[in-house]
Formats: sequence, C-alpha cells, structure tokens
Amino acid sequence: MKMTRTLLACLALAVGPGCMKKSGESAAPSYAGGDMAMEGGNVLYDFDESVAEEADYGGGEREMAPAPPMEPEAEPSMGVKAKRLDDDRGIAPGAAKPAPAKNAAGSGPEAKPADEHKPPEKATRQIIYTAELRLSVFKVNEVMAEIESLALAVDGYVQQMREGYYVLRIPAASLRDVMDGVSGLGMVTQRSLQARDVTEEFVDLTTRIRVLRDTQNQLLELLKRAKTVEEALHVRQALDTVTMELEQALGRLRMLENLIGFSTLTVYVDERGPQNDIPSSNDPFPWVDSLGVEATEWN
Amino acid sequence: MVARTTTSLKLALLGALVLGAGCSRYKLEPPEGFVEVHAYSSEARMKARDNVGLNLRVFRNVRGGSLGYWGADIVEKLGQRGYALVGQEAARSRNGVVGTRFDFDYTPPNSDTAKFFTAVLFVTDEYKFVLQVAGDKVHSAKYRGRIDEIVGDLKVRGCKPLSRICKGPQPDRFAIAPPSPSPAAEGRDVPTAAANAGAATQPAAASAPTHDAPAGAPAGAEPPANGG
Repeated sequence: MKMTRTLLACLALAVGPGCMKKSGESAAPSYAGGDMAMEGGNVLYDFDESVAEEADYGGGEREMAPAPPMEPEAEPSMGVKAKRLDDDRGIAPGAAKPAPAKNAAGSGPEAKPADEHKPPEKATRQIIYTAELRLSVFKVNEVMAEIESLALAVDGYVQQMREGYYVLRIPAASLRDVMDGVSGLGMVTQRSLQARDVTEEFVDLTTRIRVLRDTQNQLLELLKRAKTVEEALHVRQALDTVTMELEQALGRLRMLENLIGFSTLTVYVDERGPQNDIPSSNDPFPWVDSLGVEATEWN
Repeated sequence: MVARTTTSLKLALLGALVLGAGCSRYKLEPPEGFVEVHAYSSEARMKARDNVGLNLRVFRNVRGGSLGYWGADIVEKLGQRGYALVGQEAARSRNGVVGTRFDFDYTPPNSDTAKFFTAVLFVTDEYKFVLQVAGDKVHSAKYRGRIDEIVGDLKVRGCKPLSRICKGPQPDRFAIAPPSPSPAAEGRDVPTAAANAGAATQPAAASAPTHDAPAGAPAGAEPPANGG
C-alpha cells in the first residue's frame, strides 16, 4: 500500500506539469460508452484510439472536412521537406498508420526516461502554407467549377464555398500546381503565400505524447497490481488525468498534421466586365474599358 | 439714360445665356422612342422599351489626341474584347463637327445572345465624345438605321477657332469582319480589326506589327444590317 502511494506520487509529479499547462483548455472527456469496466475487482481500461479520433480540436470555428489519408512522405511544394514523424511518434491521425497505442516507440513500462526525452532525430521542417488568389474572369460559374475540379484532382477538398469564393484544402505537395492551374483560369489580380513554421510545436507535441503514453502504460500496470479498491481508485484518478492530457495532445497534433499536410488556398473570383479596372495594363488611357455593350444596353 | 441701361442689361443677359450654353459639353435630346435615365456633364444614358440603350460619354482630350488616334484606340481595344467591326463611316454632328461611326457585332462571353454595338466618335480640342447604341442583334436594323438621325441631333463642344483637331481627317479604314461565315470557318487567318489598327498612321497603332491590312476595305462600307 505504501509503495503504491509512493509510486502514485512520483507519477503525479511526472504528469503534473503537463496538466497545469493545459488545464481548462478543453472539457474533461467522457468515458461513457463502455471504455471502462470492472472484472473481478480489476479495472479494465480500453484505450482505443477512437477516443482520440473523435476528440474535438478545440477550434470551434473551423469547418473541418474528414481528413483524407495523407501520404507518409508529404513533400511541401515550396522546396522544404516536411518529413512526417509518424515512425517516431507511433501515431496516425489520418488513419493511414497502425493503431498508435500498440506501436508507440518506447511505450512499454520498461522504457527508460533517458530515451523518453530524446528529441526525434528525423525532425525536419514542419510548415503550414496558406495561400490566396484573386481572379478576374468573364464566366464566374464555369471558373468556379473548374477550380473545384482542380482541387479534387489532387485529392484536395472544398472547405468553404459561396458565390465567387472558395476555401480549398490542397495537399501541400500539390499547392503550387493547383495555384498555377487556378491562375490560368483568369486574370490574377492578387496573389499571396504565407508559410508558418510549426516545427517546434510539432516536436514538443510529439515528445509529450510519447511521455504521456509511457505514463499511461505504467499506470495500467499499477492498476493491474492494485490490491484494494482504494488503490485502484487512486490509480484510476491519475489515469484519467493522463488520458485527458493525451487526448488533448493527440487532437492538437492531428490538427497540426492536417494543416501541414493540407495547405489552405483561398480563391476569390470576381466577374470581369467593361467597368472593371484590370490592373494588368499600363495603358495611360483606359477610357475604352468603360465603353461597350454592357455599359450601354439595359438588361 | 434708361434706354441705355436697359440695353446693357439685355446684353448682359444675352451674354450670360451664351456663356451658359457654352458651359454644356454636349446637347442631346432623347431621340424618339428613348427616354432619359440620367444626364450628367460627362454622361447621358437613355433607354428604349426594347432595352436598347443609348449612352453618350464625354472624356477629356489630351494634346495630340485626334480622331484618327482615338478611333484606332477604340477599334483595337474593343477588338481585343471580342468586338467585330462590321462597318465604318464618317458622321457629322448637328453643329458640324466631323466624327466617325463604328459598327460592331458582339457576343458577350457569358451569353449566347448576339448584340449589336455602334459607337460614334467625335474628337474636339477639349473633349472626345462617344455616342453608343447597343442592344440585342435582332434590333440592329431598326436602330442602326437611325444612327444618322440621332447623331444629327447631337451638339458637341470643345472646338477652338481654326482647330486642326476638329477639322482633322478621318481615321484609316480598318478591316471589316465578314458577316458570315466566320473567318475561322473559312480557314484563313484574317487579321483582326485590332491588328489592323497598326495600319493606321496614328501613334497608338505604331506598335502593332501587322501592316498588311486590306487597305481596300470598302470606303464608306455599309454595315450589313444597316437598313439605311
């Protein structure tokens, strides 16, 4: 009993900083649904990844479409390799990898702390690309349809759409191609591209998840060894805290992966007519732009 | 003494009237069948019941800007937008300023409805005037036949005494697109009106590389559907 309490205290210390850091960031997860059951005095905890898969990202305003499977070696278009760290992390938010809990590197109870805090050696730049294009076209509807086709052709998807406005999620490796394709559909009046380096946050999250998984496994071992209900309850409390932290980290990591793997391309499509100023010409006398059928007849 | 004062007052009133009239850049009464939608110093818009529109635009002229220069500019730029020149002839305003009438056929990119478009350009020392009439192609015969009548009722201002601009020559003839069949269907590369603007001796057209415009374009060619 005394030994168990000492172990719990140690674990609480190990987990504590993580709990303090993220406390209040999201509601405690609900375990209703048969994740936990008592069998012969032992608590069986189901740490199926589905709990993490269904976790809310915390970004309420985001309209996330179901993330399509991502290629393991996604190479962003801007020449910076964003090598995924799935192998190191042992998690697969995009469902393209095996279940994380079972493949987590160093996740066994025997894992040494020195290994836990070892930074991933394969860490390369993790970059989120956000681009904008504004087009001036004659046939808005046709161009809108073509833009959507371009996105779907590279396994991208439409995140938001309204008349003359698209928010597309494009696989990072195809962003440049899609931008070139969209640019060819009309006259580009505005173009921008932003890159946000999230390598540090990515590596931090990865490390944190690994530590939390190790802790979770150790707690599970403790739970199996619990002799009394009181001991089991104590361990379970700690386990709940660790699980919550793990889910939060997994959710954040999954969101980051989605943003890295799928660049956001916003396209504005303006209808072009004789009244529009097209800033592509240095003609000092654009007076003829205001002449024509559209400016004269009545519809 | 009283008679002298009255005469002075009359002269002053007359002068004010003359000056007032001189301030107006143009004078155009709505032609029969048209109603005025709005009229400002730089634009007047009118419409007919069949949605044919009449639009008079006034732009400031710049030194050197002549009928030939701006005529080439119109034909070239409208040609780039898909307007096919089908007729070109001289026009004369009510107050004797000579201009050029350009008749175009046009189908908007987002529509299957063919349109007619006629622009009559007058250039004075101070202003350039474009009287535009446009609508569905089915009405072209009716309205293109009335262009001379409409233009004949228009007064334009801005000519200086002994002006070389107002009495300048007509623009060179631009290539007239054959009404049917289309050049593409005939399989020959007919120079566009825009390209042939290069044949004009005007500065704006100097950069156009094509100089093999059919100079023999029919002088005073009537647009196919002119009807009058």
